[in-house]
Amino acid sequence: MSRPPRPARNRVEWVTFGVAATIVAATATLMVVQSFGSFDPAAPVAEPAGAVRATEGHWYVPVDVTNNGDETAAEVQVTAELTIDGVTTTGDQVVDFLGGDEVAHLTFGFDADPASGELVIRVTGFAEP
Amino acid sequence: MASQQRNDAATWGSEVTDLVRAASGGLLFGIPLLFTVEVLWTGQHASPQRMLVVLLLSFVPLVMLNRTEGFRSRRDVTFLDAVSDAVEGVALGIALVLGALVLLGEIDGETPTRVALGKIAYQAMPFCIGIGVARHILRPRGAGRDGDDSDSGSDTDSQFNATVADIGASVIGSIFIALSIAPTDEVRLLAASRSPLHLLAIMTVSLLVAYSIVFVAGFAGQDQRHEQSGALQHPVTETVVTYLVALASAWAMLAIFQRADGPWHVTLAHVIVLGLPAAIGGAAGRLAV
Repeated sequence: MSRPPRPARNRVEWVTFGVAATIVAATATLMVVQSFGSFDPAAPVAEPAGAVRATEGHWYVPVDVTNNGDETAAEVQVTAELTIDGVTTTGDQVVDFLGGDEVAHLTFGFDADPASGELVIRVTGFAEP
Repeated sequence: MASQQRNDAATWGSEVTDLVRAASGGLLFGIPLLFTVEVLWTGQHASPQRMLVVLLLSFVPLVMLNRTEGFRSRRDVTFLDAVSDAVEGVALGIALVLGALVLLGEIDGETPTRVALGKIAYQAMPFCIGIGVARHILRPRGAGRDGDDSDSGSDTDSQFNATVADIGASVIGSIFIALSIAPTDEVRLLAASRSPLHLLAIMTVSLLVAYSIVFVAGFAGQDQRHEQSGALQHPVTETVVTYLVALASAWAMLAIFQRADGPWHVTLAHVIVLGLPAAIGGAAGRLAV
């Protein structure tokens, strides 16, 4: 089916075009600004975030993994080691992708109270995507 | 003065119809990739230069498609018209993707600007193509419509048959869009981070999108649907029924792939998340099948 050809833009269509052009220009400008920003290598670090939660003999430790660099880190390995009376329990988690300045929220679970021993949380490695 | 106001209102109405039609096409084409986590990851680690290239590439198919069909009621005559409509299409794609990613929890206040820009750039590309083929995907109003709609409502039997046909079309449309998403882990991943309030927001948006596709976007059959009588043919009732059918279809698809056997509240969250693409497909199915 043929459509009527388009006449000159009216006032309403100019308003739409103005808003659209602003959105596209703002997005493109943000990308250009980002491209001129710093490019520090990925530097993910893990640290406890908030209080330990206890439920029916299990203790849950919230952990934030923050990428302090600008580049993205992939397959970020996070390890939590709880040592009580010389016995070490280890937990591992992997964050698939962590962008620059991005934070991933993890939780590690233990069968003993982390307050009764030494808890070490760290990033053991990551890959470049 | 009054005549000028009436003209403005009519022009705004026509503009909104064009934009809703564009958004409907974008959602129909782009929603499956919104549920593809690899696309999000690609955007997450893309460099700003690459994002800019992807954003610029999104214009190419839109300009070409605007020269043939596009999303406007009226045909673009000049190359400049096609380019200006492409700007509107890309902006609409960006806005749709931003809204969808916020709704699904992929972008929030903690998301770094670079990550958000990457996700938007890569996800907006299929939305832009969908916007460009909006008039191709579903027949525009006035293109004619075969079937039983012309005599539906003439008696109880035809009303019943039309209602059954509509429900069947919704099921088929839901399956067409959501079947490829149902067996993936993305439904589980996206649902896991959604609170009850977020799920209510997803339900609200699903209903609004379903209503817009059937009754606002100006596709074929819209006028007939506004005129149809009967308990299930009122626009609001029909939209709610379309959504309920989409939710039922979503649950059935999850059950087939053995992903509906968790606790009821977890399954409900999965059904609501999968219900978004299912509702979009179901609404389109009512017009296309």
